Amino acid sequence: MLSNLDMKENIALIKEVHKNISRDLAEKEAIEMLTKINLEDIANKRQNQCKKIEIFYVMIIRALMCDSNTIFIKSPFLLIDTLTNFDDIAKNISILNKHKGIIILDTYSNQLHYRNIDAV
Amino acid sequence: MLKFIENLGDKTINSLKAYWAAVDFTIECIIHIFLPRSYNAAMLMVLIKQIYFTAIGIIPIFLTMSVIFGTIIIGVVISLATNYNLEDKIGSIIVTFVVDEFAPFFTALLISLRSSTAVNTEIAVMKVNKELNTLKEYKIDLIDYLFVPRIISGIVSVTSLSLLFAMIMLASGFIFVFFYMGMDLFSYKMLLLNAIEIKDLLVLIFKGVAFGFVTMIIPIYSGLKAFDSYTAIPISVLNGMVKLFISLFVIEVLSLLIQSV
Repeated sequence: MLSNLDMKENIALIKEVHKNISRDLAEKEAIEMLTKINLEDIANKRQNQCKKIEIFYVMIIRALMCDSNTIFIKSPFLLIDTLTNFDDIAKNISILNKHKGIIILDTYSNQLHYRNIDAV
Repeated sequence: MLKFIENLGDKTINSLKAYWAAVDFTIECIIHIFLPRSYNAAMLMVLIKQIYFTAIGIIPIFLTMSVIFGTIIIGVVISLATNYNLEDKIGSIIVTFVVDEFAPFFTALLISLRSSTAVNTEIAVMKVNKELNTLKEYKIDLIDYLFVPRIISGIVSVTSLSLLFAMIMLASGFIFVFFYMGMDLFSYKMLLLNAIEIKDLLVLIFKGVAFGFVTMIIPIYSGLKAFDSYTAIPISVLNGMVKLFISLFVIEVLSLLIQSV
């Protein structure tokens, strides 16, 4: 996450650079994605003003903006130390993503956290 | 004795490697400035922001200083010229001093103190926070996105502010000549217009571009060389500023040498 950009700018940056689309259009798309999971209020906030879970979602949206067909999430329970249940995250990811494959890499010790998830 | 020679050789090789790496980085940045693919929406936004922070934000203090320096320094120059019976050369002395030397050098010093330190710190913080790695992971070219906008803003800002500084300094010099010499505005204007040459403007622009380039490339490179620790940030800024100030003086001396040939 770039600390001198707000959340919508962090997301929009990928498309501005790789697709060369205008800033307004890229930011509009970023806000639409944040709105889908009710995080539109963090669009203008910077990293230090957001919770870890919000930053995590922004990182996922930013990854979804890339051309890559597969997204790897490594140890989400380490990234968000207050996380106890992955179900909400899985639900929000399924709202955000319809086409890309998402692979979560985690240790066996966290296996129980994923028991309600069939496929993400 | 052999150990001493080995150490000396080792240090020489390392220094040459470091200089070559810096030259290589500079050449790469210059090439990217001329590549059309460097200019995308994100880069242009960074460029606009940088020009705003570097050139627009400094204007109030810049105008105040140019008026104060214009009145005082032109006053001193005229007094000295009068003392040494050089009244007929006052125009060319003022123009050479203000346009060729003082305006670009003073502007570069102000921009160095205000913007170069900020750029050096910003890049070093990004390096320590691994933000540069994030950009690389997303295949965002650091030179295109981070460095080229800052270098262009440095060149544009120092050149344009040098011109502004020179104009305001010359205009405010009238205050002194009016009270000290009783010279009217028309005579002062003609004195300057008869003295100024295309060469003076070319020198100002050339120096503005050279100063602008180094006021950004050196802090950027210094920031990139910061170690992965927060304590490395002030050291990086310190090293960057020392190198920058030496470079500014070297450019100033080189330009004087070139002009004297």
